[in-house]
Amino acid sequence: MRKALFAVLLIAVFLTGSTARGAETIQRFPPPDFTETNHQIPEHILSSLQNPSERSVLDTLVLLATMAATIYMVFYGRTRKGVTAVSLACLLYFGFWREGCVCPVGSIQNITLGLFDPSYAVPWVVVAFFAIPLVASLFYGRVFCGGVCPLGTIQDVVLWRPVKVPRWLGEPLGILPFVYLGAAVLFAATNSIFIICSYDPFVPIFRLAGPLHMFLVGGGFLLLGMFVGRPYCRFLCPYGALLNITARVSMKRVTTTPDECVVCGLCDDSCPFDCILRPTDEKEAEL
Amino acid sequence: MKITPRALILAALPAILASLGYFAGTGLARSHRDVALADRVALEVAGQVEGRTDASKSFHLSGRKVEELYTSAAAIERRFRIGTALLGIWCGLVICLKAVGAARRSRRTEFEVDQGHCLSCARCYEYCPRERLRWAGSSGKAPQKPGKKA
Repeated sequence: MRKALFAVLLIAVFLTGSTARGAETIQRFPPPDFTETNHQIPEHILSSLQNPSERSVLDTLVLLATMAATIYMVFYGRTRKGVTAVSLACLLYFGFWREGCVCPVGSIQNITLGLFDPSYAVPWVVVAFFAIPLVASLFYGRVFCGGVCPLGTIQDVVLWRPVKVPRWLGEPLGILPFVYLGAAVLFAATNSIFIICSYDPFVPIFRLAGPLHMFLVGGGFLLLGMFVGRPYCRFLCPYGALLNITARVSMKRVTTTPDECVVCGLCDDSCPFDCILRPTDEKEAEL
Repeated sequence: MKITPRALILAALPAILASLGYFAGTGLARSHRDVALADRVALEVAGQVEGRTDASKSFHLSGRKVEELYTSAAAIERRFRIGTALLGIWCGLVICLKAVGAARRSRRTEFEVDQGHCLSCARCYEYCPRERLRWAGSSGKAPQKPGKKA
């Protein structure tokens, strides 16, 4: 059953990515010249307009390299320090240097628009950013979240005294990423707004530019993130909703213990994201 | 299998949310620039607002007919109603599956990683005594106490 689901999801990712027609990122029109008003185009916009193709290639290569490094650290090296190092490097590169764009989270909308609007050509770098973490999750689980995503890493950096979210709260909140995913697909398919990008709480922090209310929302998430592990990732991220599905059929599975479990419970105590399932006793299993 | 009121509500939830979504579609369609523009132009034509916005000025200067704009906006509203109904079905299915998953009793004799939720951060490795033994064995040193809790 798991292998069948794996095959179906792999084909679905491939078809989705290939149907959205990849377009070369080229600068067709130079930036306007504001000689009369002497307006200065913000640096972060100007830099993104220069050499878009070369940047796309570099971004994709960095994504592949960091994904490969994370997979090695998690499954073969089995080292938290390695994962931390990769994730901090990605925070600096994809977050503060590339200012959070292109990112897989927002790519959902581009792919959706490419599927519903034949006149919209999705840049190939966006297709790559959408597909690479999903395909990796089919083989290795949510390695993108743990080692690459800058949105997750910035929350990890501020994590201080994690508290366990009670099940009665965590389970309903776990529905929100799927609702957000559906809403994002709806608004993108109708060519209205890209809500994921418009309401991304951390991109204004990466760019040090944006509406005040989004700075406040981002600050709120970081404040909450000091006590609740990765609140955006667990309770809102729409790409995480997709990874949640694909990771369940992954070929290789994360295991805390390298061999047998001695049922000490230390892993459950240590996990700030409530990702460890406890053993059930016989009475509970029979209910 | 016993059919409880809760099971009936869960089964009907996608249809209920689809209906709610269908009626909410008209409101959500206002987020589309052409629908918002059509509303504004309609208010200007009816004389209910004074002046023009930048968008309505551009529209009038473009030479497009108002009827074309209204037709386009109506088509977008129809698409939104269908889309929000589908969103309602999606949300209903997600809630149903979550409820079924939460009610399911699976048997586990040891601690396992929830593959769908695990973020592959590797924090748990350094707390596992078996992992620490493996490190100690490979490095030749005695196992150290785990660091501060994550």
